[in-house]
Amino acid sequence: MIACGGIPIEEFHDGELPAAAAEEVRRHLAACASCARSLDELRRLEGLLKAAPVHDPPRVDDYGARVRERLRASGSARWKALLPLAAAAALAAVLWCTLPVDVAALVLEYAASTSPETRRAIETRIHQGGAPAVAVLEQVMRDGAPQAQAAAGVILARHPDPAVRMRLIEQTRAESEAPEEWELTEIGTEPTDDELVGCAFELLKSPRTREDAVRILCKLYKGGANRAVREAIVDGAKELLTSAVPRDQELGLELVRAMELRFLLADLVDLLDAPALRNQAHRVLVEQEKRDYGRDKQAWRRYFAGKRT
Amino acid sequence: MVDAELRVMKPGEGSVAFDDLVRRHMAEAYAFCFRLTGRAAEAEDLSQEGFVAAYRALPSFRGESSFRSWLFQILVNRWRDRRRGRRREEARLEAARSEAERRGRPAEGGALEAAELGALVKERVADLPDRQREVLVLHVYHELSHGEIAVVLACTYDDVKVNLSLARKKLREDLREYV
Repeated sequence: MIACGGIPIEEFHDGELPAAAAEEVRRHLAACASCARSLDELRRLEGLLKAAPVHDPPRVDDYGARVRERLRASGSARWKALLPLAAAAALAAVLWCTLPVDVAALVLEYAASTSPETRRAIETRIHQGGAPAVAVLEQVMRDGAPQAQAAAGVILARHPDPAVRMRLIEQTRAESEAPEEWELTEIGTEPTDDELVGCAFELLKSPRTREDAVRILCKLYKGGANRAVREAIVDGAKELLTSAVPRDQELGLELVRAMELRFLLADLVDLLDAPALRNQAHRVLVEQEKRDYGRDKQAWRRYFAGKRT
Repeated sequence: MVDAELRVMKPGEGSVAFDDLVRRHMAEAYAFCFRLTGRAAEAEDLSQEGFVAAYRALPSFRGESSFRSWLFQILVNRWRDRRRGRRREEARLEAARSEAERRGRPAEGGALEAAELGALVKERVADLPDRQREVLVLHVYHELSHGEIAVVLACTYDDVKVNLSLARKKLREDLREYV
């Protein structure tokens, strides 16, 4: 039986352990009254905490109305400077009822793209969206993330309708900004990019978004992101690689390969006897290190130990 | 983890009513803010501010991850901004006030009514250091896994584990007569 000091009771309680480790803890608990008491105490504490009531929430309708009111209040002053009052009111109503997120998402795609063809195609699609699309662009330019603001500015500046371009010029003049000087910033160059790391690892979990996530992480890692961002990415990749879950290990492997994280290669040696991943792990080791010790873990370890010294 | 309502936010797949998002998430957002702030009025104000911020920031949200996690992130950041912005003097006054309230309360050794016990628990949770409270609230009341909390709070998995453990240790000590 494992010694009590090594029993991860809290992780067991929180359902954070892989099945095999949880089973081991369960066996220990059946034989150890002291640990069983600790678990019981943890459960009682959780029950006590959950029993503490929350103040009654506000009524849904009132609450929603107040959010709407705040939303209008926070945006109205600048809109009034741009548009006639009636048009502004109509626009606010349209914006409130449904979010034209297609345009917003396209702006992001535009900001992330480096291909002139893709950008032109996106511009055309947005320009075809007429006045509602322009309204979204103007909103993104005012309140969006820096990359999105810049992209929206460029798309507006190239709008076929002269009135739209004129409004942009008036607005930017009013804010002492030069419309000709919009610059797109790539992922990996903004100080706030660290916010993307968590999201990218989240996206990595879904097969649908996995490719995007790897691309974002690569861009962040290789694109001049600050040290904290790169460290967070390496930590995340290492955590995946050393996880007991094969799917996580596979994701870790993919990151190591895509980002060429050479100093994590030594961790790949442990995967050389993982049934589902041994071939991939072996391939990455050979690709990156330009040598081949087959699946001989000892030989690989000796090699990496030699490299360290 | 993917919110069904956000799938429609992907390019070319239509749009979604923000009103509906507010309706779906307001109770949880409010409860979360209430447990962070400990005050009904501030919880309402903070959670509404969070929804407005979420609306404003939607263009920078890619839509593939959970709206719920993203909203928690926004609320935590807003809450931290407020805490930072609050003057030290005010914080000191507040600490003195809650200490005075604690002294004025009946002896803790006696049997407490459920409402009193609830208030005591709420107060002890509010007394935890910020990071410990954030982790505990997300885990206990919103049932987020350690990994999800790490994403919301932009910290490591180990940070979550350690802070949750410290919070529990402190609460076990503070509430030992009731656990």
